[in-house]
Amino acid sequence: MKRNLKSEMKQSMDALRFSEEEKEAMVYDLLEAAEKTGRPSGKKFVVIALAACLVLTMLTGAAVYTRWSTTAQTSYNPSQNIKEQAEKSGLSVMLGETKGESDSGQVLSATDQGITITAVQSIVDNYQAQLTFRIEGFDLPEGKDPEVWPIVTIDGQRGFYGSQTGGCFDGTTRNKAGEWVYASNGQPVQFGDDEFQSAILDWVADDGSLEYTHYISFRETDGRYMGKEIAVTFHSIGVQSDKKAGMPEPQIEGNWELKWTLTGTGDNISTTLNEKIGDSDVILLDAEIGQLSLRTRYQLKDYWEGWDELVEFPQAVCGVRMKDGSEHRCMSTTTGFEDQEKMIYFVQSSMLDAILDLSQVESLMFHKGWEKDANGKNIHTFYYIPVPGAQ
Amino acid sequence: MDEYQARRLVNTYADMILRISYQYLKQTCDAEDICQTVFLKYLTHNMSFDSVEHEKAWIIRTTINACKDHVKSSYFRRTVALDDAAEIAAPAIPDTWLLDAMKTLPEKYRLSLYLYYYEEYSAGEIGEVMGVSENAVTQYLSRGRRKLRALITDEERRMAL
Repeated sequence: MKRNLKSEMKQSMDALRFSEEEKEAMVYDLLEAAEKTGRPSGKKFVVIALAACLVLTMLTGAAVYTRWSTTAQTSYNPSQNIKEQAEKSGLSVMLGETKGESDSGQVLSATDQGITITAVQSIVDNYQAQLTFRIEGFDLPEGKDPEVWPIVTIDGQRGFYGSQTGGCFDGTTRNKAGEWVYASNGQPVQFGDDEFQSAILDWVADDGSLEYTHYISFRETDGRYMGKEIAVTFHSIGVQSDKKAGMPEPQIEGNWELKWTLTGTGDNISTTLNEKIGDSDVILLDAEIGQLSLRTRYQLKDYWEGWDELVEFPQAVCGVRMKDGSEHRCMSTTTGFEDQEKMIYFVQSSMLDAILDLSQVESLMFHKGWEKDANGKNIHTFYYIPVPGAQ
Repeated sequence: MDEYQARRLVNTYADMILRISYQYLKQTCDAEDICQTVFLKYLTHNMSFDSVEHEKAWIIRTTINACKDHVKSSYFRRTVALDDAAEIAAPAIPDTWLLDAMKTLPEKYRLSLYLYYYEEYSAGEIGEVMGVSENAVTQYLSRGRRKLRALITDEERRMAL
């Protein structure tokens, strides 16, 4: 009798699985844990969180300031003042409006296979870049999620990033109550009746286009990439696989190469702090706070083993408090030991729901714990370290 | 994390985590704990994934680490009364010859065979997630197959009697 190890392995392993009830319990536990930690994460999260805004404000705001990409508008809900600041400082550039200006070699729109991809907006500071593109002419198959992933080079090199992620705007956001709703009408997101009860997302804009945003956390944060040519090349437009952990499935292959001179702002608050964080042994050494993102450095007492398992650094900055008392959360994008012998750890973070007015920054926020309010609801509490460089 | 993402994570990876943890622990009653550990790490992790494959590799690596930690803390689990242990719900282990045979192999052989034949990773990729060289994985696979062949022969002899 001849054995086929592969088919026997498949047969045996296919039968080893959780029941649907056990999986349902896991989903429940995971959502409960997410609520307690208040620390969403993951690729999807980046797309969703950066799309998060207060929908009511967005609906009114969008009517007045329609120039910004839907992703940036929905993510940050910027006031007119912030928009003016961002454009004046060079943080935000509406790329379509730079046509014909000094950068004669730029290509901001490309068409292939009947699909046109256009660079819409860049938001760039010393630590991070957000590049938004409009994709026209692609018919997203019903019930499928789009999958787009470009190859990016700066000055012809690929080693410019600490991390990259990206995703299409899925038409959803959070309302004031934190509920997941459609950005277009504020109605709760609906779930399908398929096996996974997947959310029904609103990927396609009214004009039939998709909006893709690519997020880059820079490897070096001294602004050295600005003034260099950035090339963003798309080789396919596809859909996400329905198979478990399957690879994306390209639907249309082609070549869409866009390039322009990367510009942004180096404006930041740079301050030395040397402040102990709460009751930990960790010392916040210094911080560079930009309008979009920030970089903080920490002195650790002992080697932090969580790094090996890619667990989030518990003392990482998690937000910025402004002088008016408003608080804006941020999320780590790139972390690591800057100097392992000296136990100096760094964290680069991206603001989730705001572009900062640097003149209004008051302090940095660090996770402290959870407390119950009068209604028994969990309230996230923080340690605050004042930023002396704030004006 | 929203419900959509929680369901995607559980539906995509829970069974894989169960299968990997079974290779390590030889039982399934702690698999749900391992799943929860891995998903919580995912929840608080700070890395971005370049692709689905990158995410999957991270889940596998984290599962292996969670299993190792679990084994280290197993002393504490021995204090659970047998009556209590019997009430812990656990996914049923299929009654197949292969799973029985694999139990007799060292854990690194079991895991390599699983990742190679079921998840269809190459030896190089397995080396990356297990933290060993490609050559080492090739040896694990070769020795694992050889041991399984010997066990097949024994089993078939028994069946023939």
